[in-house]
Amino acid sequence: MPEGIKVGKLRLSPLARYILTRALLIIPTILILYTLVFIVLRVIPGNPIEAALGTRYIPEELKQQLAERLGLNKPLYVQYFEYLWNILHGDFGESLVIRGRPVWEDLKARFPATLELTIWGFTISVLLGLVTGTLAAVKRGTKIDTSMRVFSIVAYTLFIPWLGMMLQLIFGLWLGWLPTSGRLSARIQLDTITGIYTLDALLTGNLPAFIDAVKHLILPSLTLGIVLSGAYTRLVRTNLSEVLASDFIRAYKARGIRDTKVLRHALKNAFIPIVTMMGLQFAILLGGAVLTETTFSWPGMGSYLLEKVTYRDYTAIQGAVIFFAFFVGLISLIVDVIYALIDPRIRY
Amino acid sequence: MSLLRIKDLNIVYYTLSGPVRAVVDASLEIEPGEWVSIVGESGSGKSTLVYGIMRLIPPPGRIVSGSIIYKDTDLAKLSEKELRRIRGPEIGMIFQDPMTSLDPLRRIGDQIAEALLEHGIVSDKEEALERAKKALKEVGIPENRINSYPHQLSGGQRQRVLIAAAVALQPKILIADEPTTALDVVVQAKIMDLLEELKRKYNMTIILITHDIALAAERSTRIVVMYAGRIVEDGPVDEIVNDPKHPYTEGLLESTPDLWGEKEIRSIPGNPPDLRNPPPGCPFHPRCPKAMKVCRESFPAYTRLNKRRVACHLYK
Ligand SMILES: Nc1ncnc2c1ncn2[C@@H]1O[C@H](COP(=O)(O)OP(=O)(O)O)[C@@H](O)[C@H]1O
Ligand code: SF4
Ligand SMILES: [Mg+2]
Repeated sequence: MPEGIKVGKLRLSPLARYILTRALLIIPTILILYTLVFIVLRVIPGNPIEAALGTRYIPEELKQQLAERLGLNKPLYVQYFEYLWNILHGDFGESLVIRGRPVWEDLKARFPATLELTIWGFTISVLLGLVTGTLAAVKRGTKIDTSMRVFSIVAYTLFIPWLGMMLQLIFGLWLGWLPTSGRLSARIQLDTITGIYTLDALLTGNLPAFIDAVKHLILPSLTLGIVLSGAYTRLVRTNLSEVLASDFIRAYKARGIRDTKVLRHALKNAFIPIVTMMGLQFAILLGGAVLTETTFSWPGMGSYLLEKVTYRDYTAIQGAVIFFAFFVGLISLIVDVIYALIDPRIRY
Repeated sequence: MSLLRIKDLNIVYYTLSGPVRAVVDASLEIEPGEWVSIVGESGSGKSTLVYGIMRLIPPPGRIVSGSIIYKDTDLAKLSEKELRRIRGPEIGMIFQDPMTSLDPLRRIGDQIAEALLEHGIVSDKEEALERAKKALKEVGIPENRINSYPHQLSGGQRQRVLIAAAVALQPKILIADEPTTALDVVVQAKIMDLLEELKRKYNMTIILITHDIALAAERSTRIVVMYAGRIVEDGPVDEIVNDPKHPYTEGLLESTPDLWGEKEIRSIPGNPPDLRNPPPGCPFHPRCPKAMKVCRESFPAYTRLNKRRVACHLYK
């Protein structure tokens, strides 16, 4: 464990110190990620001007003028530090492609869509993983165990766009039960507060909008949830089997504690490595969200990034990545705190 | 009438590399108030026998045949639900490794209290915690430790907590599977003293498992010797210790330093057999200095000598 940080003469509780240390670790993480993205963007062929022009021809002179206006002919290190400086002041800059469009506005509009999809997908994956993994562990060595393991392997190897299209085909095209793209039907009115539609619908007591938003969410979050649950099934199965075979579980049984209670204690113990996994999974989850969003025309950060990469919109991409990194860091911080709270053996 | 009567018990682990016959034709009667110590080298089936009594044999193990009669009910035939009423208030158990036998995520008081509530010994949580405090005090743990987590206690303290949790349910029989093997010698003696004290106080019957025949000799009323899944000798402590009849018991005693300090320590040559494929006849014959031809052919029947029984072809 890191020793924690003494902030002046301030006396912090061990937990507060732990949180602070972990929070400060987000800064180098973001810095490294920004640097990587900055380099990659400059190394890959093409730049915003060429990308915007496509095959159209304009004179070299004009290109130079454009580059100057967008700040693209400044030395790289100047570009690097200027952007960093602006970010530190909370300024995400303007899009290089759509003139005068603040990147921050885009992020504000797109991020809640991703967050909503992620939360639903995450919940589905954890629930699915927990149920299948627990079944497999408790019924270890039986047919139930085997089918759960097959499920986990299949889910894990499924390709998101493929599963997404299958679900679209079955539930959208053939059965016609569910919408296959977008977040809300055109005829539905919804006042947005947080940008998380299901939440906004509840907050404004708008039942039709809530139902419509949920319908739109089902297929994409199921796609994301199923694919990501495979890893949880395996993890829960392995951990829970191990815990169920451990001495203290046998000791519980030797005291005549009923099976449901024993299983509950076992799950709590099996959950510790799973919580860690959740933190790690979150980054993967966002990656999965990119694929899901494109499959389901979901207007979130994933499809935003993809769009902006096509246009080599440096500022937009950098901004989105930094924002993502900050968010992932925040989640993993929260996960660490939960972990520390569950496990009394952790000393901050 | 016996408190516990095990008859022709057979327990097999069906492993991938073949069935392991861990307990073979075991019969054993235990009277109330006895302290029976089961001894034998590691791998001789001692733990499996007592897991059998608790019906807690880990997979892939199974009771294949035989009965375990406790107060007129055959434990071998009970359902999981019925067994829950036996485990704890009737027969309690403590284990070899105190470091891993407590739930690391829960306060020790809660773990003791939970069982009291489960069996309806008390009806509310507060009362249960009060009882847990008393139980802790009884085993020499200060009651303010009730809110400690297992990792805040030493190995010896944890074993005390486990003893408290078992004894709080006032079992008729307490099974202790090598309770001090993982602890250092000084702590070992203290834990054994504690068991002796609690046995007297609550009039419990104790089944102690140990590979250390000297430890068994100190406090038991009776010693049961197991080899390769079989009970080979069984009788009152003084008879067994002062005049062992079975060559294996003799070997165990000779390999123990504490008891006969003046004598040279001689360990039994060779190792216990692989129980997937034990030697025919008397399983001890490859290591037995007194082995005869008949020993390779048939397992000897029990012979009664005084208050003891012994399974060896030397005695007819
Ligand atoms: N879970 C298990 N799976 C397979 N074999 C086992 C298992 N537990 C014990 N055995 C085997 O059963 C035999 C008796 O073991 P055990 O009862 O633990 O002996 P002891 O307690 O006398 O050391 C040994 O050969 C051991 O390898
Ligand atoms: S039966 Fe034979 S081999 Fe077995 S202990 Fe007796 S003398 Fe030794
Ligand atoms: Mg053992």
